[in-house]
Amino acid sequence: MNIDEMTLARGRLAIEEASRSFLFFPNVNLIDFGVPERGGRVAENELSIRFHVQRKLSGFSLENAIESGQTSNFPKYINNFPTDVLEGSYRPHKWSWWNGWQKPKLNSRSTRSSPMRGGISISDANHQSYGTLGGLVFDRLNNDPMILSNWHVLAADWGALPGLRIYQPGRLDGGGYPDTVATLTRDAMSVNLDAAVATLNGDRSLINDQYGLGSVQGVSQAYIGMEVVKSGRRTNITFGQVTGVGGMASMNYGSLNRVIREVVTIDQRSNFEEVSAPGDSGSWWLDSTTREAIGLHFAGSNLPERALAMDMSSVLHALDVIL
Amino acid sequence: MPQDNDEVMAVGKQARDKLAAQFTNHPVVSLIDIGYDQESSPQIVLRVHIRRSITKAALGIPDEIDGIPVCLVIGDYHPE
Repeated sequence: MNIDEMTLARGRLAIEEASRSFLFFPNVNLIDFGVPERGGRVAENELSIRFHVQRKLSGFSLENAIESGQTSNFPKYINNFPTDVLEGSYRPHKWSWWNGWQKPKLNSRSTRSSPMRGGISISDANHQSYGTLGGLVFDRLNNDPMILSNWHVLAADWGALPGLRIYQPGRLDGGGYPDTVATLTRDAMSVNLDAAVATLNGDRSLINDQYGLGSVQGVSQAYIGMEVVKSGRRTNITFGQVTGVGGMASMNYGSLNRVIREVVTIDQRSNFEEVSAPGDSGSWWLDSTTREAIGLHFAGSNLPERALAMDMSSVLHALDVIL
Repeated sequence: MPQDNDEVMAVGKQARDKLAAQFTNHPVVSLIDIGYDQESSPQIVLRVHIRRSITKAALGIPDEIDGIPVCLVIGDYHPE
């Protein structure tokens, strides 16, 4: 079914409106835009705003659930789209950023690379996952070459110790023991930055290059309105615009919440543009004009489409490394 | 958009710190940052990102801090 851009735009607005009013009821898992079900069959030529609920209720059960705040009566139409209610329960992405059965698309970023560069798949040895190898940095103390990425990519565990093996590609892309390229060295979570570095073991080299973008030309400070670009394992090369700086975010990392500071907020430049997705964690955001690094990507959202990064200067300083 | 003025940003960060001290751990608040008011730029504003729709009054958030307006933005973020 081909959907024209105007209809898609209206659909997105309707999702936003529905989300504001209904997404946080406990019985509601997801609100999206798609084809409804009629009599148990997919109505292929229709479009609707779909409420995915834990349990589809009716009669007294529905009345009781509404009274207790578990759900609500959904309107028949939102922004002129009919609504539909489906049963659907979805597992959240926590330590494993993917459901086991949902194998991510393989591409050249997901394979074993030599030399390595920023923008390719990486993970720690203990988790069936992947994130992005951000780029090359050097230990200020001894000039050792290191990988800079997120704590939740290179360690991903509150008990992770220095010496933890790092695989390229990441485990979810088929990486294993023979693909060990580095060992976890230190992280900056104790100073509220989701960042870590791993020292290369000498098996493969890492060059100053961002896959598809070229070399990083230094470090700079983000400012509001700056156009930025990144190269990530999941969404490849994407652009964005800085809309916020100096942020402090409250993030959930499995069993613990953590405040992450020096957050740079990056929005779409225009509607329908993807900015980031799970798997891009660890990517470096660069000033699109100067190719200077301004932020280390660590989180995001889809509604609205937005990315969060940490100020690169603060990250480098906290980890005692240089470009 | 012009590059941010250092003095303006310094005031903004001080105001942000005051707001963050009170609200960073609020369950509805996901992020507090410094941005531009989309509708009346180029004034900087403090943006409180919230996981669900709620009013400033219900949150207990003031309209401005140290002369910097405070606005609410919907946003719930997860590690990627």
